[in-house]
Amino acid sequence: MAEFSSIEELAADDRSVHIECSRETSAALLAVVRARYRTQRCAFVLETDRGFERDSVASHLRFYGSIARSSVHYEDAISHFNLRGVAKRKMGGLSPSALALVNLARASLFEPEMCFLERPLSDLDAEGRSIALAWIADRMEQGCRFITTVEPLREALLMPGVACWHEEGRFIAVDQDDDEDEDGGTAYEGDEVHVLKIPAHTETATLLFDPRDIDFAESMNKATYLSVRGERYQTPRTMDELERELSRAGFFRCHRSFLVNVQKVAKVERYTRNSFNLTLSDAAHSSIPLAKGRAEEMRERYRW
Amino acid sequence: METTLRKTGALLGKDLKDLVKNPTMLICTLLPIAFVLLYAQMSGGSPEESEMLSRYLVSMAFCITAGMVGSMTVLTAIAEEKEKNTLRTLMLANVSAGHILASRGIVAFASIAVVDAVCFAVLDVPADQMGSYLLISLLGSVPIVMIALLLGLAARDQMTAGLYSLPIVLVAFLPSFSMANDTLEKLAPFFPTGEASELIELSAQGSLYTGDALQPLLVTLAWMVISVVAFALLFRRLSRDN
Repeated sequence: MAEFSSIEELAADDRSVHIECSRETSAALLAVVRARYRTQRCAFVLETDRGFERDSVASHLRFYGSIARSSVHYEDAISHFNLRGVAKRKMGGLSPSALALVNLARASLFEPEMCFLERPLSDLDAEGRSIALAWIADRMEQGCRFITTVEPLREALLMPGVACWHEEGRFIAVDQDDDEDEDGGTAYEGDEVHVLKIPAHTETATLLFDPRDIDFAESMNKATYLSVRGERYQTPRTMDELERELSRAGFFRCHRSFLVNVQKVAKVERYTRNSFNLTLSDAAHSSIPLAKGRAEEMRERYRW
Repeated sequence: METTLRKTGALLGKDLKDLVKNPTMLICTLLPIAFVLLYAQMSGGSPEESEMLSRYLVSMAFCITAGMVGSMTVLTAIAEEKEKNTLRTLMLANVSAGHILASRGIVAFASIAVVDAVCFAVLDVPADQMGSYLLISLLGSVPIVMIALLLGLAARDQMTAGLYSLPIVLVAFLPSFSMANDTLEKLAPFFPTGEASELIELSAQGSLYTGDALQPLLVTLAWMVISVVAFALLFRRLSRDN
């Protein structure tokens, strides 16, 4: 398993890295990244960025456009990030998702070679996430390095680049799946209805979920969680066990760390050659990464 | 140099717009005009008394404007930017503390000039002296604006800015109350706005170009130099903390 033993080592790497870590680690990372990329075109978006509250979105972006003076015009950024509807609104009155997009639009004005983002996807709805991920993928193809700090790890996996989590000073990379299927693959036996319940533990009880209620399962830091109606429940099953049990109930292993209920998938999106995401029809319109090697298999199996 | 001008210019546009849009800042900035209008109602005695009152009000207008506008457009404004993290966003966008303070300083001096000009126009003093009033007012406001810039960097949020602006306002206002007793009258010339207000009174009397103006002029210039040097010394340290 690849890992970085320190913040400095991580900053010295030249790949895009997305890290699940605490706010404290994020702040330490920011300082190191800032020092290392001092001479390059950088853009920083922090969680605390709110802009001047009495300023309108258009005027805020026009101001940063004149600070950055790149080839990106602020009007183009407004259109690109779908902000036309809020362009005249005051920064202080924006919803968190619109504010997150304004912050990314501000970063885009700098045409950065290095972009540091704190929790870029946290406040975004499905549509906003799609716009943000498309911009990140596009910028990355043009050679920009992204370092993002996220919570939870799933958001790191949605972005192209190395996803890792922070543990005791080290940054451990998630195995990025997956051009060849190491698990050997479970033979697909066709969807059938079985009497099947998946256990999950809460503090006081063991819950038994009907697979139809499960939106997706994810593994994180060696534990497996079920996402049911927007809540997360830890299950004693491993990802492989779940895959074996649930493949009969219409579940598909779309990523080493994710098993998705295909019935809940509303949209398959492709941002670049190598990055796919699934958007679900659950309450939160969750986005799930789809590994490149598994996209083809999924398409064939479900004939999309 | 071109980058510095561009960035400072962009900041200047933003800061001026914010001055107009922020009701608290706008009201405090215009307050000296309201004061002068109110005090001007008091005149009504003999023509000599009226003239004396106007002379006094001209120098008072300068003191109040320096204190109120200086502390509001600089100290509170910088503190608000810090409190709302917009200062950090700016600095991460490669805007330096120097650009930010330059813009705030220019906004402060421009506002002081406008408010002073309106105050002087409202008062019944010879219009041909306007140029010298404004020049003296701007020179005399330099120490107050410099202190406000430094305290703005030191303030954590708007609450601390409120606390820090008290001494600025008191120090700037004090010469206006110097006739209250002998001790204040003796102290006033040593305060940053003390001798500049004396110069303004001399100008209103038409005796600006006499020997009487020499000492106040030197003290005013000394305050300017001291405040600029102190600013240069402390600026780097305080901006590093941000």
